[in-house]
Amino acid sequence: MTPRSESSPRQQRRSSQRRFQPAARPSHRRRSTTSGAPKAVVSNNSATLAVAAILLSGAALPSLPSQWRDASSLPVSQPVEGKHLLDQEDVDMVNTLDKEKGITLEDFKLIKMHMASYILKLAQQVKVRQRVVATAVTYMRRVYTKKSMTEYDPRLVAPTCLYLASKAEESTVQARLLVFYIKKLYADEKYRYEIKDILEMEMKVLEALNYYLVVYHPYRSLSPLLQDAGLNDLNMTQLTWGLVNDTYKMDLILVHPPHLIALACIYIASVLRDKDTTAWFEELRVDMNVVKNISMEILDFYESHRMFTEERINAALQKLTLRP
Amino acid sequence: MAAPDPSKKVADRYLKREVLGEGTYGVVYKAIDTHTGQTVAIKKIRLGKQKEGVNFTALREIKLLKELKDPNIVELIDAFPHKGNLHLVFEFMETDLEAVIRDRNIFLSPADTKSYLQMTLKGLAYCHKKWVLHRDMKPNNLLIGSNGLLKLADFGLARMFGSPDRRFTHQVFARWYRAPELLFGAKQYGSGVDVWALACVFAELLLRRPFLQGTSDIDQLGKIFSAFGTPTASQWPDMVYLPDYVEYQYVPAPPLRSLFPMATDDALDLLSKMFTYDPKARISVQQALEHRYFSSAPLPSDPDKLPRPAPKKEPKASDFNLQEAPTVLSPPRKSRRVMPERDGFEGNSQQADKVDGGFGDFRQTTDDNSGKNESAPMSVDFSIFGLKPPNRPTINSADRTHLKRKLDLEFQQPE
Repeated sequence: MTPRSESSPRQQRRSSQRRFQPAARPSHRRRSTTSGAPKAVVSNNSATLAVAAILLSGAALPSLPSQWRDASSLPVSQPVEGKHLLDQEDVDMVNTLDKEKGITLEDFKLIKMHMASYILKLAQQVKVRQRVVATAVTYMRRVYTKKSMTEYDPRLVAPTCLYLASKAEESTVQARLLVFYIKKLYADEKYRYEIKDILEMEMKVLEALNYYLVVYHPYRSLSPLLQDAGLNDLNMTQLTWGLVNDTYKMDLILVHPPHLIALACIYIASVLRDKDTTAWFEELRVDMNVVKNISMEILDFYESHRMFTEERINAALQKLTLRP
Repeated sequence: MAAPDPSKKVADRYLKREVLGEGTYGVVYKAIDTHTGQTVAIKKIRLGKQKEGVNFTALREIKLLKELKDPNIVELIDAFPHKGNLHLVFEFMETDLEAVIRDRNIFLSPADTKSYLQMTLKGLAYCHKKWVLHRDMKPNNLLIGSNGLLKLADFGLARMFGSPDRRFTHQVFARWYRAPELLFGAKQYGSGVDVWALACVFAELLLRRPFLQGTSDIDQLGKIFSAFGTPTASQWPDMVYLPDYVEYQYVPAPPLRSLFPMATDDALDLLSKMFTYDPKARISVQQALEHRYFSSAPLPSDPDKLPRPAPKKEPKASDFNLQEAPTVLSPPRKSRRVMPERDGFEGNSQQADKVDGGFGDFRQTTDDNSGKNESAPMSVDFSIFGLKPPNRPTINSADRTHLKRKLDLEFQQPE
């Protein structure tokens, strides 16, 4: 195992500030408006969305060398227990109870994505670091590989996961503070939950997680990898960091090892910034096909995200409240 | 609260037996796992009235013990909610190293001491390999099973480390086991703090009494310096930059041999490397395991053959009487555990004298041999205290408010 202390001084400063990593530069936001994309629901921390949209329209991914070797000795920390990784089809299984209410796979993904944004918004109010957000979103996604949204209302599970993650990541947020900001963020009755609801749900979430609380994230490998590739300038760091943030709008963290997600984000970023990393990737002993597939998944998401409108999310959530 | 069905089933799985102890955040029961026939210790985590859900310390412990699976680390077998409380199921441990050290009927041979130290080092090496600092190493947290195996327990203060620039509280460990950098207020520290504490345990095994019994943080440093000499800048260059650094009057180090007359040369060499002032120069747990102390004669005893306190006769269920409180298993003077919980909010004034809780308590009671201590070669004459040695220090109240702020435990504010 490699020491965890291998990040750049900039990285260190950031993590100690307990702030969110700013996404890409403002100039990209400007470009996003000219690209005429409809106002996306995913707005926070996702300036990279627009960047990738541009990438999609024009840039082609470099062709990959054919002789990618096995993922065996990548010099980054591996997840301690691979058993937490799931197959995509298990993650995409819509619970029977939810199906009966008419929830499609599309709805399922949409609701999870919306809840990831909800967690982020709440987290920004109570000011916790990005890592807590990432852990909370992972908890939420893990819960719904086992439990139905019908029985476990996402609008309660999301803040509960943030509450639990804040404890697990040693940056405890008081439940009453969360309740306060929930009310501030959403006027909608359906989001209204009290402290006792969160505490009750905390126990259920713990059980659904089978008490596994440690989550490994791509952020940790990002810095050493960028440094190794000689791409650890501010621009690339911020871009890749933003890309990693966006991956939590998807289920990637449940399916792929974190360091491969980090590599996929570096891959996309290097293509976007015209950095030639082919030789560097070639030297890594990782299955580049997996990295490429993850990259494609991320790009697919950027392409389709503009279709995720408020109305569609509300329609999906509406189904949950219907009596069958 | 709606207890989901599965929890009922799980609760039915375990046959509750007698109470083993009352901790600050819950009661520990002995129980039989009906599926395996195994004896277990179940800890019921009381949900506080502070409206903050699952106890933070308990959550830390669950989080880390789910990841740490090693023969020398206590096993978290199961966890389940029942009647609104979280229950943790641990393997049952017979006794702990403190009871062994204190029991004057026990003779520890050099091979026995070596074995206990080696098992502790192995458990700790596994923790450090997984980037976990224990931060509460002391004999009382080193549990011993019926097969003689020693296991690290009580991860309520433990944390993941290794993230750069992450600041930690220095208010960890019981004072007698606190490394000098912590006493000087270091906020960024590493695995060396566990090594120092383990060195204190090693010394305690050799002396059969706590080695450096400071009565305050300042006094603790004084005790350390009088044992090993005041550190010089060449010994520990970063010392002067530590937040709470104060200059101490220079005292030279007495020969280590004079403090541990019975120890072998190898033992003294290892001990001095573990007691190195500069945490950067201090021996690592892995290096300590490779030290020639462990490969030279006598070889470590087989755990099975290690001397242990005579097990108390099994109390029958019939004569188990709650009124008589057989629950006070550990003597009251063991109330020295680092307890970040603040039961004071519950208006329970006697909490202060309560026996220590935490996870060290799922062990069988051993004879209270405090009365036998008088014959022991203690550093202080305790006769004036009614034959009882003074309480081991828990983190004192000033420390505790500090803890509240520093341990990221602020969530339990009264209002």
